[in-house]
Amino acid sequence: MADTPLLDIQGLTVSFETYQGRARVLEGASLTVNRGEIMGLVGETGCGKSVLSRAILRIIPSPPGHIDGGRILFEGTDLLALPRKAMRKLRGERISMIFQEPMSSLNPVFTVGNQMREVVRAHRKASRAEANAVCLEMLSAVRLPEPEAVLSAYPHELSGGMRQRVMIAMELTCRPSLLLADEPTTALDVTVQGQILAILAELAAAENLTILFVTHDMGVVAQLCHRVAVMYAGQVVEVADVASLFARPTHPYTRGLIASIPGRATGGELTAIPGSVPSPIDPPPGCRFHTRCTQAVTACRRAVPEMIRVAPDHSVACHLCPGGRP
Amino acid sequence: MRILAYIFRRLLAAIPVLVGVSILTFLISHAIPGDPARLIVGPKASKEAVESIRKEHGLDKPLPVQYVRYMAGLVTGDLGQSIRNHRPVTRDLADYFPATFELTLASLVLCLAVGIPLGILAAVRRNRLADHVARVVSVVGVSTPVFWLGLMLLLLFYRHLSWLPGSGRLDVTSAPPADITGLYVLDALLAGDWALLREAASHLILPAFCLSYVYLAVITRIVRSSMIAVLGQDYIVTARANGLSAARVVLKHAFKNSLIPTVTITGLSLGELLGGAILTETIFAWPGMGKYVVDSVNSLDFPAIMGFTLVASAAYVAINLGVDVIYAFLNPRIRY
Amino acid sequence: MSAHPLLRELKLTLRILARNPSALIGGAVIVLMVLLALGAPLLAPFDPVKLSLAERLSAPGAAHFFGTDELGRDIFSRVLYGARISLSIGLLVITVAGVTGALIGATSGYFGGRIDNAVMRVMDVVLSFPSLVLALALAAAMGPSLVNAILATAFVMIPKFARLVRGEALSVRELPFVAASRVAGAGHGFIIRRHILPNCLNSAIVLATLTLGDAILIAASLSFIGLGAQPPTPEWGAMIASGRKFLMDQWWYATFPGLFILVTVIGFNIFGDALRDVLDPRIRR
Repeated sequence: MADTPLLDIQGLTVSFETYQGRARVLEGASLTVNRGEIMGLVGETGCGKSVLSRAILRIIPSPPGHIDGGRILFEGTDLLALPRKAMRKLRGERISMIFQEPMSSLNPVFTVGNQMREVVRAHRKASRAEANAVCLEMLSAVRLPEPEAVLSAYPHELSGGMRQRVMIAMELTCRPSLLLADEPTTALDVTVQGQILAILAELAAAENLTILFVTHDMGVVAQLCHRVAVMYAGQVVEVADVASLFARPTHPYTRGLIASIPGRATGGELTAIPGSVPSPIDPPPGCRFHTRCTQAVTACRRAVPEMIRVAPDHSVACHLCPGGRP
Repeated sequence: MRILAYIFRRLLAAIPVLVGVSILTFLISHAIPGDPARLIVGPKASKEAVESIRKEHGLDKPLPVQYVRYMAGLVTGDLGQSIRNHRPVTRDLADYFPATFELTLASLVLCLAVGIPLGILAAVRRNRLADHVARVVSVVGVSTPVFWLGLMLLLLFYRHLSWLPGSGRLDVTSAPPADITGLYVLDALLAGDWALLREAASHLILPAFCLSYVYLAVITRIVRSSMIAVLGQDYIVTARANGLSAARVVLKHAFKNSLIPTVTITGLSLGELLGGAILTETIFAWPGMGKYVVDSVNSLDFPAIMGFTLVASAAYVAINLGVDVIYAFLNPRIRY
Repeated sequence: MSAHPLLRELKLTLRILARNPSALIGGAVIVLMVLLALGAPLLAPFDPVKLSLAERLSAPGAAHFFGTDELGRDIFSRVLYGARISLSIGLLVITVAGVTGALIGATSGYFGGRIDNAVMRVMDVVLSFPSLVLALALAAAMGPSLVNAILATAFVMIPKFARLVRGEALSVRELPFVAASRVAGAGHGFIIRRHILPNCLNSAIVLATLTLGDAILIAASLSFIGLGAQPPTPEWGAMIASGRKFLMDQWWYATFPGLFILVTVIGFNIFGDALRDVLDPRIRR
């Protein structure tokens, strides 16, 4: 078992029905996440990273969304083949998720305690008092002062940072092994952001929690994650440990991303990647990045590049990289 | 308690509205008619009688003076005298009120009992069968003339099938139950008189169904659209991601939120129920305020019409005040 | 040469509507009713007010499709002529209520402040009455006649239009081009006519279509109560009122006029709903 990764996504394809046609938001995306690590998932807005995290829990709104193919192996079981009921049991208990907007992710008409206890009792038999105890413990674990007061408060009475901590506490009440975090700090102030990241890192270490951290912020990745997967237009294009990704970004897109981090730009100039993300309804053939890639060659327009291992923990999907077929 | 402060504020806000309502009814009865005095005594009265009423009611004075007089009457519960039976209109309305209350309450309950589940189903199964059914029900509902629907129901269930009685609150030979609430169904139940309960209920079914039908459309529509809006919210995704069952997500998390706009619109459209009661009571000879006002129209009993108008709109304002209170209980953002 | 922008928009709207099945159904019903109303003199087999006591209360048949009433008048012919009356009532109510409401709303929203506050309070008071109740009181005060029923119905509809146009006026008056026109010396009346009213056109049309059905219903209800059209006018509501006495044995008398009200109002409501989806997704009922 030690060798099976906690999460192994293979060739995941997800599409959305739109007025203009069928949008392939994920096209054969693959990713593995090992036990106990914090995996960053980065990419521009619209690259499919949020859809990927939601597909794991099978909470993509359908219609219009539909998982067309691929496998999502969680502890060796394919989640996509799981019966509905078993899948529901998994949610919130083995795999949890926190979202970007702490303002709107909690139900405004119920107290925090009502919502937290409900999660606890949805997954195990517990009296109200027992559930309360679990909730209080978790609220303390995310370092919320006065957990009792928080428990009886309505979401609108808490600040954004407090709500996000409540969310984290709520999602960890069942001690899941995987936490999906979909840009959980994007909507917060920088100082609060730092606190939340610290709490996540601490909990991950203390509880042996695996986190898939979705973000578009390379700075956050550098600060928190052990490994990173870079997504572009519905595909994972590069996966590496953090150190090696920042030291030797291999995919032209990754290089562009890193170069566009303020303060890191080479020659003191901010480089933005030219062009914009292609439409998922009519994606370009071959490598999806070739329309924006300055080094694109004929092969890039023809064939979809495969993932190649370029270093022990560093893979990339690019025709141009050493070992690829230019 | 902030909620008490909120209720108090709503109460205060209702006062100018009620004053406005009184001004408008005053203007309708005193400024619009060519000769208000003639309307008060009726078309058959002699010229001398008209003149004496004009003097007696101060109708020869300027309008503001008349309004003060009118208000003084209102405050003491004086809505004038009926032309038909020379009784105070207030007394008449008080007699007819329980029947109307029973009918509208039964219709409201029926509407909510059918409209809310139908609206939820339509929202959850969007563009599937339940949604189409709900759409047809609501379009036909808002387009049906209540009085015609009543006649068609009579034709079918009374004339042809003979399943249900066609008029009144009880059979003509029956005596009403001991007056406790004024609602026959409830009073019969309290008295433990099962036969009478059956009878009262069977008389209530057709009118209540007729009246609820139009309003049902409104409820279904608003429940559907607010549920759809709520189901798209982030906290619904959270609830699903937390492994809650679909029923729990819809019936607890989505429903309570969708009730907030639903309650407001429900209150606002209760006016349709009051208006519809006029027609329904007339069709089913239901002895309530609505039938009373139509009878008043037919005998040109103007004071009675205006008395009803004022009471109906005051009731409407009061209902909406009640709705505001329910709203405050549902929405914690107001409560604190 | 390009077409007038309004014309182009109309074409676009029509093209979208043509693809919308409910718009097509609703539109077809409306067109049918308008044709029946216009063609009533040609289509009606009998004079709608001509008495024929020998044939009184005869059941629907080959001669009288919808039967006859207690005075032997042909109900089918009366219903056709009734379409003229009901559609005219609807149009008149909407015109009166729409124009008055738009003027009130535009003035109120454009000037804002105290005027706006006062006007909107008055509208709130009107809305504190159940619409049929208020219409009934007004019609009773003015005396029973079709014109008075139309005026009474129009009156209760005014706040809807006033509120709609006011909302639009409040936002339009903040737009830069309004300030620019002011600077260029345009008068208030000009700005209201030139900038505010055209901007409300779409939503006002949607509201008018949806309200037309309500207007027909309220006016028919008033006639049913006895406060609207008076006999022998072949108004649908009034016909149902007289047919009511014969309901138990002559079902056709009250049934057919009501069926026509139902179908007409459904037509306007379906079409209005579709129109709203196309023209104005903001207003909700």
